[in-house]
Formats: sequence, C-alpha cells, structure tokens
Amino acid sequence: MRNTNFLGKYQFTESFLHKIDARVKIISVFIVIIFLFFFKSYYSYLVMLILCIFLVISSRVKFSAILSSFRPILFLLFFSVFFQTFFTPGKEVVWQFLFIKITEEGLSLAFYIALRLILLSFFTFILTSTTSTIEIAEGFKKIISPLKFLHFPSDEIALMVSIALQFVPILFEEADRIMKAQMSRGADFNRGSLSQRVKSFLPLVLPLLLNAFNRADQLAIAMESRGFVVGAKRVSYKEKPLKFKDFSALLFILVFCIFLLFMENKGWKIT
Amino acid sequence: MLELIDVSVIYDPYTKFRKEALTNINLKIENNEAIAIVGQIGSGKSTLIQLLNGILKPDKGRVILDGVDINDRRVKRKEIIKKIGVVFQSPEDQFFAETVFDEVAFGPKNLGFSKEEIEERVNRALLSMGLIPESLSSRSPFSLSGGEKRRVAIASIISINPQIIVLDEPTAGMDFSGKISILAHIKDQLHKGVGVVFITHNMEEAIQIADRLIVLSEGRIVFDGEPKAFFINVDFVKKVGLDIPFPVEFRERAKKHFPDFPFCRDSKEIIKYFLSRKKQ
Repeated sequence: MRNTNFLGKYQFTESFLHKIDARVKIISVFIVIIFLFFFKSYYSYLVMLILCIFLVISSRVKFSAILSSFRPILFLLFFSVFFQTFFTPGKEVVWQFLFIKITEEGLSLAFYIALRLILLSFFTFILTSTTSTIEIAEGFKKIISPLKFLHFPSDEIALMVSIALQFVPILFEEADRIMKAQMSRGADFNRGSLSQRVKSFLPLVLPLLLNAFNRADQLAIAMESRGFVVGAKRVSYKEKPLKFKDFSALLFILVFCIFLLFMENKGWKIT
Repeated sequence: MLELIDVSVIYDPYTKFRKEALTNINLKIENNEAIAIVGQIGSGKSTLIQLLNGILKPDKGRVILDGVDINDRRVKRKEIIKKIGVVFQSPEDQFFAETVFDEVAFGPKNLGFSKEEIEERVNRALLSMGLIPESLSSRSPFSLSGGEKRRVAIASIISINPQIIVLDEPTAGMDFSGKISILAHIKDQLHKGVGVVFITHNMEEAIQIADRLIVLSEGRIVFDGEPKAFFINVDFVKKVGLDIPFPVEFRERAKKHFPDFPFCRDSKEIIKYFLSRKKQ
C-alpha cells in the first residue's frame, strides 16, 4: 500500500498552485463541484477538463500519479454508469432484450454522471495533491471559524477533522503492517466465497481497531498532559492572511464558472 | 537455501519521499545459519526481511528459494510461507483470536493441516517458547504479560514449522528477563536445525547468537561475515554508526595487559582463557 497513490497523495513542487492558500483551494473546489451539477452542455465539461489538465501541468504534479488515484473510484464510476444506463425509464428505447431496456435518456444521464464524477474527483485530486493534509485541516478550520458566533464548536470540529486526517496515513500504514504479518501466517484476503472473505478480514480489522483505540487513548493523555482544554481559545503560531493572488484565484474560478453557465444559456453561439 | 540476486527496493518512486530502501543486495542464506542483521534506523533492515518471504516484491532483482523464484506468479505464497517464517516488529499487535490456542493455530489452519496435526503443532510451538500449553491455551492472548505476548507471537510462526525463521527485533521493548528468555528460546530453535535470521540493535545479542553478521548501511550491505571480523575493526563499526559491544570493548582494554587476549563471546570463554594462562 505504500507504493499506491491513495486519492491524490500530496506531492511537493514549487508551483503557483502549491502557494495558494488552502482556504481558497478548498472553496474553489467546492464552487467547481456545485457548478459541475449545473452545467448541461458538453462544451462546458470539455472546458472544465481542459482547465483540469492545465492546472495539473502548471502545478508540475506527476500526471501518472493523479491518473492512478482514479483506480479506487473506478468501481463507483462503473456502478453508477451501469445503474443509470439500465434503470432509467424513458421513451426513446435504443436497445431491448426481454425486460432489459436501454433508453436514450438513460444513456445520456449515465454519460453526464460519469463526466461529473470524473471531473469532480479530478479537481479533488488536484486539491489533495497540491495541498498537504495539515494545510487542508488548517484551511478547513479557518473556513468554519465564523460559525463560532453561533456557538458552533468550530475549533473542536476542526481539531477532530485534523486529527482524523492525520490518522488516515497512520492507519493505512498500520493496516499494511498487520496485513503483512497475517499474510506471513498464511492469511489470504482475496480468495474464497463472500462469507469466507468477510471472515478473512477479521484478523486484519480486529487488531487494527484495537490499536486505533489504544492510540486514541494515548493521544488523549498526551494532549491533556500538555495542557489541552476543551473549549479554550486557540491561536496559531503562523497567521497567514489571504494575499492578492489568493483573492484573484478565487475570483477567477468564480467568474470562470459563471461565464461557462452564461455561455450555456446563450447556447454557445460565439458572436 | 535462500538467495537474493541484485535486489533493489524503491519506496514512493513518484514523490518527493522517493527513497531507495535497498540497493543491489546480493545475499545467500543457508538453511541452518544463525544470522544477525544490524544497522542504523532507516538502513533497510526491515525492508530486507520483508523480501525474504515474498511479502514485499523487489523493484529489481530476484529472490530465489531452493531454486525457485518466489515472486514468480506460478509460485503459491503458501508454499513459501511454509518454509520461511517472518515475525514482524512488535508482533503482539497482530493478535485477534479469542484464545492463545486459536492465535497460534492461525498459521497451520491457513496452511490446511488436519485438526490433530494443528493441535500437535500448537503445543509443540508453545512449549518451544517456554510456555505451558495446558495453562495458556484457553486464555485470551490480550490478558498475557508483555513477555508472554511476545513469545506467543513468535510461537504463532514457529507452529508453521519453517526452515528459516526471520525475526524483526524480537527483544525490542522487553525487560531483562523477557529478553533472556526470548533469546534462549531462539537459540533452542537453532539447535533444532532451524535457521534463524534476526534484526537487532543490541550488539551483544548479535555476538551471542549469530555466527554470521550482516551490516546494512544506507540500503547496502557493507559487511557480511563473522561477527568477530567486523567488531575487530572498531573504527569501521563507529563509521557505520553502530555500538561497540561490551565483549569487544573488554577485549580492547584487556589487550593492553594481555596481548594475546582472544575474542570472547561470553564470560565462560574469558574464564577459560585466564585458567589456561595460569597453567602456563
């Protein structure tokens, strides 16, 4: 598991995209995802795809690494395309065999879903491969911090998210370690019937959970012994105010998406 | 016999964390050798032992067990696991079963032995690690003491009956008596004709048990031979970043007064030397 790129592993380069504030990147991805569900024209999706490729090239992140992080979502993609194709009712029947029908509406819906999913994950992978987990957690904390006025425990939520995020790679490493240990005792995780497979995961999941609980206990003790108090006011060591380039990047994405939507409404007739 | 031919392993090849963990390793391990692998943290020791039973595939090179390439697709992993048993670092983390018996029986069960055979193997494995099967078998592995847990974990590999048993820091985090008992039982395995390969940070352990020492530094084998030949060159030992074991330091100091003082593994040999001196 160490050699796989799980969902856009962070890659460090000295690019423009890396230097943009994490808050801006998170909000931009959010905006893009919302707009992706508004677009109706294939042209818009094509432009978005070109934007993706442009961003990847400009961030100097390895393209192959991003492509390989698509592997885990392939199943989801296939699944949703499959269901949309076969289970969408419609008038225009393209192909029929007994009770199985493929309608034109189904096909086009499936195509849209696929496009949206691919682009959505593409943008997310660009975010995760240009922003470290710590930056993402910090950014998230800043984004939800205005909610404090509504007595929303934003600091605590942010802390939970950042701890969870930082535990992900540790848990993966741990899972890898335990899997190797059990495989050395002849465990086989990918063979047999479904019930056998579920059973075969027990030797992996049980120790993993146990160790995770132990680790959580240790972390709690370590934090308390260093003076952590729930609900206390927290400041950060480095305050990074938003700069001009951050605002302009955010503005660019917003204007870009609105422009695409506008062009769609005009029917993409460039006059 | 296990043979590594020109093996290299690279971690995270596409990121800034790219690290060549092992570079061009050539190694031959006979079936009844006692080998200690030493080296600083990050020198590739743990990576090396993962290669030995095919859990980790090398990016370059081949690992050959009894004439068969173990990373060949046609080779069944279970056949390799039967021959090479690997005990990972803090192996008690892998416990999941309700009883010690089930824990130790996990390996033989997976390899498809009969019920009687499994029972016999579990009892033998527990006994060989100095644990009494009758009193332990039905207890939960989580209720054991630290030393007992470690020994049960090692027994869970011994129950597979491997030709070579590989251990990653078997005594790490153990107290003195725990260390002594684990080392003694590992030595027992050697007497039974099982090959032992182990990683250690304790040079005294390496000298006491191993006949052959492999020193890793920055992913390369910088020494492979008798422990004596390595530790005699004190400057080289320091350069690789390792500790000078007490017997060597003792010898260095003793040599000032007794120029023919030999390389001694334990106190018995030192006493023997002085007794023989007296006779002269």
